[in-house]
Amino acid sequence: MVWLGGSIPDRARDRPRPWSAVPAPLRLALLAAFAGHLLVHSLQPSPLARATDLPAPPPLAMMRLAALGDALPLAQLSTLYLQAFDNQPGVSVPFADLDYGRLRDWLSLLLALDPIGQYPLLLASHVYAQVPIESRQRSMLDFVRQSFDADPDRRWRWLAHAAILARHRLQDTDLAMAYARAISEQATGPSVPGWARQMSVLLLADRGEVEAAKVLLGGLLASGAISDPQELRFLLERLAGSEPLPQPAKDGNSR
Amino acid sequence: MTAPVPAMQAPNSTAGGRWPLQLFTIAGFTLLEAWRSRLPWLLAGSLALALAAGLFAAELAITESARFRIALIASGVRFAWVFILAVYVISSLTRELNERGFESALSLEVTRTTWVLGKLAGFISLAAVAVGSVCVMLLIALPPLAALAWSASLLFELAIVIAMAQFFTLSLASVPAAAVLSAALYVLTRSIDALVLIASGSPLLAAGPWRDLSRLGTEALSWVLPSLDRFAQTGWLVDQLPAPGMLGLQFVQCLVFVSLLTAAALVDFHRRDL
Repeated sequence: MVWLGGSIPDRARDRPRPWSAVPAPLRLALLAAFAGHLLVHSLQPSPLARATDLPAPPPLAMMRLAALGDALPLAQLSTLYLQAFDNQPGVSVPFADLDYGRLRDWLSLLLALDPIGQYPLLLASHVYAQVPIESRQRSMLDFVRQSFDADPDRRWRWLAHAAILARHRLQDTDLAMAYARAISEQATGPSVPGWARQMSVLLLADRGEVEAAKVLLGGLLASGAISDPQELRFLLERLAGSEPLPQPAKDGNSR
Repeated sequence: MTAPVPAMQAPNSTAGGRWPLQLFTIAGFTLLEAWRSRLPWLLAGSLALALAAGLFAAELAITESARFRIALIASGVRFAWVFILAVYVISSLTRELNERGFESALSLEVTRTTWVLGKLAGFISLAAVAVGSVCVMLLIALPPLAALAWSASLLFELAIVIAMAQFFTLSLASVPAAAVLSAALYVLTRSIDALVLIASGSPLLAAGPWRDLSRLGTEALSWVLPSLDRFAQTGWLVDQLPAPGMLGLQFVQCLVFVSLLTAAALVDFHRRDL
């Protein structure tokens, strides 16, 4: 069909001719080329699984440039990259083997790209702070504490969890009380429930870690702070699997 | 030597009054051509792929799964459609120019201006239909204001991309050059604000004449380019609505830049000896 500005594609003409229209040598050549490709592939060595170290994150300015003006999707994809870094092809890298300095830089970068998102804080407090090495636990708790200052009303619940970890894993009541006081003093918005501001009382009570975590989770659920079904499932699974935890090594390589 | 075809058709008493009808007809046939080229299937396929990728990423996420799903679907659709529509505009215009269809249009008393504007209207209508479909999908899952604001902004962005592709195709008459320059200009318009910030205050650049030159160069570029990085922000869908007046500003920016590119394309096209 030809009208203004040329022909319009006609589907009837797009129908292919039958296979018999292809010359036999050409069909044989196609099969031979495919067989050759399989042969070359079979001669190549098998890929070796090799763990790589967590690289340093790119500068924030470079990430903003790479985001082409929309930093949120890039922050999310980078978060999934970091989260999955312990599962490299064919190799599983324990969290304790990660470079926590770089890990903290990555988490800071992700928060800078997506300041409204909470994901990096969840990873720091619920995932990377679980390694039984005190210095690394403290590094993650400190990251949560530093990040809290930038947006207390939105990030208080991660610091509340950090306070419980400090009290029951690190046995550092002073640190836990400092975190609880920070919540009381800085998280003053209407969305922050009263019990969160009174965490110091909770911490002073002589309860086990699991009991304290249950109280915290129950409070979060009651206040509606957790609405994501994935997160709820993750936290409940963690709680259900809680066992008496090993005492953290001071700086060892235990896992 | 044959005399060149006049760049502008002589005004005709009957053709002068018929241009709106001709424009709509060309736009309609542009839409028909897109339909017969199976472009809607390609757009729908890329939407389905973005949906699948978003759902998969949301399954991997420990928290904020809804945020992951929406943001990755929206950004995936945007980049896929920008690419597909730009390639389609370039290939469609090139084919018409190569097959002398444009010249047969001129013989029907259609002016070059009407033909270019008709094609542009057709391409933008195509983008509007595509964006409308994704908007309906978003309206099911999101607050209406967020879905409408993001969709409108995406349409403005696509209109600018279409005008860019049309300008480069009509001016250069070369598919590789038009594709590369359209992609380069798109990336530049999406990153110009970040480039200005890097050039003006980043520690990555040492102080000195090179930094001053970079700053002046990027600031000069930012004056002549639209800030596409502010269009169709994913955060509007998942966090907060755009500031009041933002959409109006983007509409004006879209109108001005599309007019600029179209005028430039027309000037070039009128000067071309067919």
